[in-house]
Amino acid sequence: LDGVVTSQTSLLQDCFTTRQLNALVRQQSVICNGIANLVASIDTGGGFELENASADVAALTKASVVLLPILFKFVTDAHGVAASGNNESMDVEEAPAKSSDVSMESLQKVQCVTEAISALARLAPDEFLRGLFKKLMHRLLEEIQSEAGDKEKVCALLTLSQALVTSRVLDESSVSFLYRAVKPLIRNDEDGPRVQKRAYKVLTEICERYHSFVADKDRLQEVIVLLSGTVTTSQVSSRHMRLKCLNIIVDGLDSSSSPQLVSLYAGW
Amino acid sequence: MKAAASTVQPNPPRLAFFQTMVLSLARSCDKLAAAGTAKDQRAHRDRVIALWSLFPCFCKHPADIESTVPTFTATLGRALEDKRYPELLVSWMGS
Repeated sequence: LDGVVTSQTSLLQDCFTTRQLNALVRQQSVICNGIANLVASIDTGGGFELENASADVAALTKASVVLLPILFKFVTDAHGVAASGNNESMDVEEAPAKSSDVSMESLQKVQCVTEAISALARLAPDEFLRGLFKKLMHRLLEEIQSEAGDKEKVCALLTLSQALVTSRVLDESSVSFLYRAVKPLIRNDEDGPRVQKRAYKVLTEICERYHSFVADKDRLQEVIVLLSGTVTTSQVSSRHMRLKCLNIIVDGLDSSSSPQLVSLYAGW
Repeated sequence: MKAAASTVQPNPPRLAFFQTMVLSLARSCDKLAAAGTAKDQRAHRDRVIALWSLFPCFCKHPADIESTVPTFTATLGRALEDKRYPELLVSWMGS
């Protein structure tokens, strides 16, 4: 058997040049990249219509039901490892003196997996996705409200929420629910810089992907009050995300925006 | 976009080929890694990862998503959960 393997491996090496093989093995996160490539292969650029889907879309929709829970579980587990040697950039307050390769790997893994989640979520059936989001929010609120809440778990759950927002599959009520859940995490800094930074990332993603949700007159005023009130409570590590969030909101303002709101911006 | 892709790729890859040929080879390497000495184990393990690393290329506009993905999903799920090969999820800077 060893001989067969060696001969077939050398056959592969004959088919690909060493340079090509090296390029192939340098791919990041083999399986997640593959999943993202598969979804990109059937993406026509205009989103997916699951009701009148082609056979390819239907096949991937079924696969998403199996794979998404596994990927979700992976992100929740990996955050614990990442936290053991936390080296997230700019987390000055809590970062240990030395960065660890293990945590770096874990953070890279989480990033690759969340990209795959965002890609697959676009194909998942609405009902399944609603259930997944409901469970996610339930766990997030439970962790936030619990006195002995695990901050790493909150970070993991926020990362998953961010992945779902990125995929633009959530309806307005879900986005509104998520916004209300992250608001207290942004407003105060009691949960630590990592949680606040994650919460800001979710808000930034909401502002970017669901601009019409934020652009609603009353909500825009609410977001402005929220962001202007956090000048003093924002941790150093969250400031970049806060500014990014403000930038997206300001970019979305046009001449029709209420002068009152514009004056609020001017107050910053 | 699909049409544009197929003009770039006159012979689209087949996931079935990856599933039957490449993965069966990877399974053989995995068996050898389990049975071999420490040095062989490492070599065979690396072969498994190198063979799996072909997967993203087979996923670029494959011709047989409809027929292969339903049977391949379980394998993907098992590979994602396989604790022996975390490299399939980590950035692998091999070579």
